[in-house]
Amino acid sequence: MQASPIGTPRGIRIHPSATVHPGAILDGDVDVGPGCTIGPGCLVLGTAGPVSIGADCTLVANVTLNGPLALGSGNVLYPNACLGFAPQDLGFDSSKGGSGCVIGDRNVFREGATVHRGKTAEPTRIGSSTHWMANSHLGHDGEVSDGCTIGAGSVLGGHVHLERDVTVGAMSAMHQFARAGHGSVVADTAGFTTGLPPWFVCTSINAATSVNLDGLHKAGATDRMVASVQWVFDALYREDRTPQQAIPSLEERREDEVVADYLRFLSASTRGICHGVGRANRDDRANVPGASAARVGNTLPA
Amino acid sequence: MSLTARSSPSGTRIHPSATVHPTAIVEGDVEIGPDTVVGPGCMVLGTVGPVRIGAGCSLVARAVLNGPISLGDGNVLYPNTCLGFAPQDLGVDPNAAGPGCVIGHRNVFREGATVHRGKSDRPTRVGDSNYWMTNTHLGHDGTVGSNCIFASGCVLAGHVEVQDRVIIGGLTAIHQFVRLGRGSFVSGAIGLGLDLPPWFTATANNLVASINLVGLRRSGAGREAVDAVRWAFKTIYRSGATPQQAIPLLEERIAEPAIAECVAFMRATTRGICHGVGRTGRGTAAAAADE
Repeated sequence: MQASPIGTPRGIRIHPSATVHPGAILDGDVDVGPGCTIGPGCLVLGTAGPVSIGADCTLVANVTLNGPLALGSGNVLYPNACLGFAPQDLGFDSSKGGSGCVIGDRNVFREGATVHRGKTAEPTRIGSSTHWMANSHLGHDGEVSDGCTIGAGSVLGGHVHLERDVTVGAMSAMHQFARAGHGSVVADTAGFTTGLPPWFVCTSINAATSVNLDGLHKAGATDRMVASVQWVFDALYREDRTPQQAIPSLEERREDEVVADYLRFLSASTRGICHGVGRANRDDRANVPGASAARVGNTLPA
Repeated sequence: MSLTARSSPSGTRIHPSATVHPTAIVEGDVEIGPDTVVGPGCMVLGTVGPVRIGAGCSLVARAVLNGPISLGDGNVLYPNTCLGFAPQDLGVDPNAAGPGCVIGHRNVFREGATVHRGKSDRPTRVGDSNYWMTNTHLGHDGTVGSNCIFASGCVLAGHVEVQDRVIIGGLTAIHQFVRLGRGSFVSGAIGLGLDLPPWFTATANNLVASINLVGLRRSGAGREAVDAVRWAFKTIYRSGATPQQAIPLLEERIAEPAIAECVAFMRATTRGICHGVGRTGRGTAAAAADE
């Protein structure tokens, strides 16, 4: 064990089995767990709030952590990853510690990934086994569950919620308060301002285009479950009606637990859900009360 | 006052009320104003050209400044922000100092934001109270006004002109030499290669969909000004004329400041004006023929 030669010694606790490079800077209230490696140039700033790093984490080099922040075990952070700085919100007093970030185990944050702390009473939360590729971003008060992958350059706005096992491609964007259901996929350079239901695939802005069959099979879904997901997709997007208008027909099959899960997702929707493309329905007017019908998609020739 | 042990003392002038973390590196011709805080791991490099930092700035941690650059008062720089490095232009000698950057007051640069110095005879300029979110980028010779917001990952290429009160969504790209008029709004995840007139909203590549009513109201615009902007929008995009053909039509109400601003902006375009969308005008002759 080697304590940082520079930086204030106040409140720094480094487990004897952890390794801290002499070029790293630890400051304030910092807890480094057993087996951790803090590489050259890392900044661990526990001055605004405590930073706790669980067992066997690796901060490769030049990583910046800012408290309040709790990292679980086995996380790997690459250079220029920055976790725990203030919300990007003009009304936020950045001198406040706020509710911070709580991050689980075995996550990977690649070069330049950024996660901002919460501004509400709840911290920004990341589960376990997520992968944040280069320059990806999670805004304040976001919640990202286990097994999600966020592609390079993708940005998730404040309060975004991803359920487990969501895959987001490169350079995709999610609006503040957008939601993605478990097992859904967002393609490269796509994104949405609304909600993407479980197991659906979003391939262009606000458009759900297919079912994530590959993901369903990998998750061990039975043929009956796959058929239910496909049925819900068709009910929402292949009839001449809006997704909201499809809810009564979903209700009729509520005893099917897959359908019940979609009803759960839809009933929690505040921003509406993605619309379909092609065939009958490309209109989500009924999703968002008062929304203008003058959308790009609606003006194309039928 | 604490001078870093690793800095070259020649030419660094640090105000007694400023704080420089012992791990920060301050080198060359550097001036740091009163109450400014230079946090751990920061690098202030005045070796190629001078660095001037005003009063009350906060370099939170690991920010990098490269001269020639002047920062006004009250700016906040988060980790991995890099201001003042060479233009991303294959023809530029990266070792030439050039005209540098001039940054105003109270700007916030979040993690990974980058601003490149000018390669022409004028510096890259940023006004006051702009918010640059994570990984945003302003290319060489850009000119940015005041009170703008740039959401995460949006990139502005060289020579871009952004007037006051502009908001750009995340991951959006602005082409070289494009101009964004005062109070205009650009959606996330799109690209613009054409100029966007004042108070208009672009929602898809090079397409104007509406006026920025929220921005107008926030700016305190009166009913007449809102009406004038709406009339300009309809004249340009709903009359069947192209944007260039619409200029003489707009001159009918040139006495109104909002119209005069719009006409002056459109006359000064070099790359052309964004198209309209929907109904009669897409800004093309074909749309006029349809009518």
